Amino acid sequence: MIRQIYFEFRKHFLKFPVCAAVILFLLLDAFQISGVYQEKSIFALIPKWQTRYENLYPLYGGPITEKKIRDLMAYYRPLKAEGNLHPGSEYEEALMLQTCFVIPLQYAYEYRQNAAQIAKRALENADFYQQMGNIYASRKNQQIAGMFSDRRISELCYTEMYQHYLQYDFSVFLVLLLVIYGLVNVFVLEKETEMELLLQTTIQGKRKSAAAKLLASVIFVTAISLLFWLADFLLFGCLFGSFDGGNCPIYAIEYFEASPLSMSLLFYTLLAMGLKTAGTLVFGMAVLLLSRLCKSTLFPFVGSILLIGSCLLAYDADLPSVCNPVSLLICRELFHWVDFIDLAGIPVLTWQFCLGTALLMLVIFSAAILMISGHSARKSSRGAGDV
Amino acid sequence: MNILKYAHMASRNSCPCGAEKKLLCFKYEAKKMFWYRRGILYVFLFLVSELFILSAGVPANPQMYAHKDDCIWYLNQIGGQLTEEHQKFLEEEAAAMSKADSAVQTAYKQYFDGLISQDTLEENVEDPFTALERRAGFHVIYEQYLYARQDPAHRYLLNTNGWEALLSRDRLDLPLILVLFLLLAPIYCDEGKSQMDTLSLTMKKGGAFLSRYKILYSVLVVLALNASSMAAELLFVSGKYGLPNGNFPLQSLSCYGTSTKELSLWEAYFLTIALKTAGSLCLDVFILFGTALTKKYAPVLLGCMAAVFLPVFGFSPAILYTLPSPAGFLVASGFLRGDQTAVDSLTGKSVTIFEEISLRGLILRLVLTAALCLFMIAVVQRKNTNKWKRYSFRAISKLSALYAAVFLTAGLAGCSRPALGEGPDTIHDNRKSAKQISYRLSDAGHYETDDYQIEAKEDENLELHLIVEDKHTGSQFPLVRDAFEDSYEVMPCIYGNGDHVYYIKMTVDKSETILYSMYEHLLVQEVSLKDFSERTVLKLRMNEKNLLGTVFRTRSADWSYYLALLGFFLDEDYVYFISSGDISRVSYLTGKREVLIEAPLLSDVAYDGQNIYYLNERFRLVKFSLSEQESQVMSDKIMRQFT
Repeated sequence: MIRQIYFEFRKHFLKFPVCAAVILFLLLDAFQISGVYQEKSIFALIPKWQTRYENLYPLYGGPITEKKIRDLMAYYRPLKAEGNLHPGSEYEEALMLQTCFVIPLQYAYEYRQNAAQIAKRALENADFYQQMGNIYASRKNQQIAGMFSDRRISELCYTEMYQHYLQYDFSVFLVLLLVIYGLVNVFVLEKETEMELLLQTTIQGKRKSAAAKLLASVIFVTAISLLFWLADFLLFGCLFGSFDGGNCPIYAIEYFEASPLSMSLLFYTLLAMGLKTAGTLVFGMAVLLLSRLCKSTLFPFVGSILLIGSCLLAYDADLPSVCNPVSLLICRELFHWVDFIDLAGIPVLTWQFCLGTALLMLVIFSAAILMISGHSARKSSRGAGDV
Repeated sequence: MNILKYAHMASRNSCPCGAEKKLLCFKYEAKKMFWYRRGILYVFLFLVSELFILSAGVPANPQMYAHKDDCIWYLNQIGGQLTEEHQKFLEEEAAAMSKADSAVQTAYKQYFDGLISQDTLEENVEDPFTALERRAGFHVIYEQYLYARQDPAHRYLLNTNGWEALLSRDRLDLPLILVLFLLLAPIYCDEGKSQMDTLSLTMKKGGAFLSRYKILYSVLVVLALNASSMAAELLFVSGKYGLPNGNFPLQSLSCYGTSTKELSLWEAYFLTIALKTAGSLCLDVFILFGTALTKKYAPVLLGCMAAVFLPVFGFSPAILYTLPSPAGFLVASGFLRGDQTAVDSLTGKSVTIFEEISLRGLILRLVLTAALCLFMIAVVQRKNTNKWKRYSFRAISKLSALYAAVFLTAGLAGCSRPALGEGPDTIHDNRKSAKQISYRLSDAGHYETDDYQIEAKEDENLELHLIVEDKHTGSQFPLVRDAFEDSYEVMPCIYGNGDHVYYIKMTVDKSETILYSMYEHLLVQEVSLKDFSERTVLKLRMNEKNLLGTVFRTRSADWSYYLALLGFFLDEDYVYFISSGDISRVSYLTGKREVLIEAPLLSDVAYDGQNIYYLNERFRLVKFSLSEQESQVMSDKIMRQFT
């Protein structure tokens, strides 16, 4: 079986055009990321802030202490007052301090109290709903209280790279195109060369060969996805010149202030990679199913564009998206708020539910492909006289 | 089957002679494309989807569409170039309107204070109301006047909706691209797949002769498809919005305000359709080139998709309109645009987002693309000859690699637009059945049931709280029980229906930078008074979102409307929002807002499940039936509030 998978993999994916397309798209991705850096990074916009930031970082950055805050405010307040009166170098220094240190520090410092407040409110609400006999809402609030009870940001890190990396998803588009390209041929190839009938008569044909194709495709999609997500991460890190902040909790980034997760940014990055890969796999299996159903490459290709395009448009139009794999591809939106889904009285986090439905879809699609492969064997052997 | 089909056709292909055979070539190609490969079905689906997209479009200026008659009345008097007299007329009209407005208000105040009788009131308000008759239309025209005033030489006043629909949409015609893939890709691929291409090379009228007709035929098909979709668009738009004053300058449309091209609207339209046609012809050549070279669908379609979609959705306009690919021409509107600038939030400097493409630049790009296309056609022809090849396949693939290199280097030369996205989504599938209920705008902050009394109250810090009071025990507690209450704002209006209370909250977006925040979503929440469970009934996005680094800009942000809400109520299909000037409704399904009733000076509104009752600008009770969508004045009595 392993040899068969390897053979299918080599036949369909280890080809020059596929590899060339991957390399070309990686270059495009790199180009796009450099564009993000040029346009969004504070230090790319105002280069002279960078050295100043690096000089000041040892003084005010790192673990947050009362002393550092006092020092910073003692330096910043007169500077700002002066800068407001006479715009000039003082004003710019104050602006830099405000953007790079004061606001992030204030956010980090206040976050602990805010989180504790949220946890306290959630506990109160849980009690209230308990009295009202609303078990679901009570459980929900207890979960929220648990999530927010001990949150704090103890370190001031340079998280700009993560801030922009986690908002970037052009590579998803490239991966989807590659997946369509790679997978449309998988089942069609033998039909086009009319070798399918021959294949059906072999011992390893029929379902076994279909299973091998399926597994090879899964490996291909996973490999391509991970390659691009990793490339994104490394490129962002190299361009922004720092992988710092991986140890910080995810809520150190303001977008994830009310996130249900409290893992570190690095772990979240890994989780996001996994979720995006799951989303790509769902689309990949859908493309494979189309390839199984059609006789020529053209139709699964156009069909896949239509399918993925309509999913994207549906997501964009804010239609319900729990069953839409695009929500996994753009997974940061799942972690923006604490969002539950009522599953028979048990509160389930939306992202877990989305992942569940995606896995279910994966199983259904794979089963459908295997079933059709078994069926078509019998059918085409009956209809063999036509050809 | 396939083999037999083509062998049959190829054999017939070679027999006829004279002028007839040219026609026959066309006939065979047509039969293959539209009959054997079910092309006719795809064309039908294409036309249906084009019509669907057209009919789903919304007017660019809904206010102007709603008050078309009034606007036309004004435009008949002052349409066209803005002269001194026109300016004077508009300013005088504006002054007269505000005077009439205050006269009406004074008269009604006097009446309500008991200073004048109803007859005197009628007399006093008669003239002001005639002056205010076209108020809504005037506001639209006045706004256009404010825009035109900045450059009166180029900005004329006109009914813009039709022209906006034709010219200002940055839409990629997706159905057209898909139908081109379906029709054109098999022209060379099909024969290559069944290995009949070599057979056709051996025939007298096969090879380059046949290939020439194939290319010509594909061009005709592209032209016909383009013409049909453009004709449909033109007919639809001129029928729905009208296309008046085609000789006015292009700059009259606000999105082309900064353009320096001296074009009239018709000229701009013809240029746009010419560019779009050039774009689809270019795509045609790309597809033929790829299929003739590789005889495979997948790499060609991937290449064409990348050439069309990536520049449009991924790259900045500067690159989109520079690449020698079909993408820029298929969108086309950017070639007519003027410079666009924005202010950088961090540095406060103005940044150029888009630089105008001069007419010379446009011609240069056209020539470059045309040269590339001719080269590709030459390669296709060469591929279809039976001669010994002077150039090996290697040379050709080197040349195509050169093109790929040009594509890439051109791509790598610019900058890009990154992604930003916001907010999760939840389901809003809740449809409460509307029983016999009543709603009063004057009670917008108050609702009472047998057990509870709910009130919107401001505390000493002017912060709003929705307070529930238990009527049996007298205990008070907040209605909104969310642990994250710092992340949103609650609006001061509630709506109650049976055991359910509804309130509105707006969440604040923090995704972009630390220096700026904005409203993200509007949520209509339902709270059950039995167990105080809460769920989202309607969720509206208040900001624009970019998806996959692309620019799906679907809706304009409408948040300022919702911030000024006076009250709201809802039924099975819609949420009705009441603001000071109108009552509009939003569908749960589409999230689109449409204005239902326009009533300036709206002072009281009631709702009974089927009808909306409101006081019109003459303070008379009007009944609006939701099923018939009709207003009917109920009584002649003047009142400020319902009794």
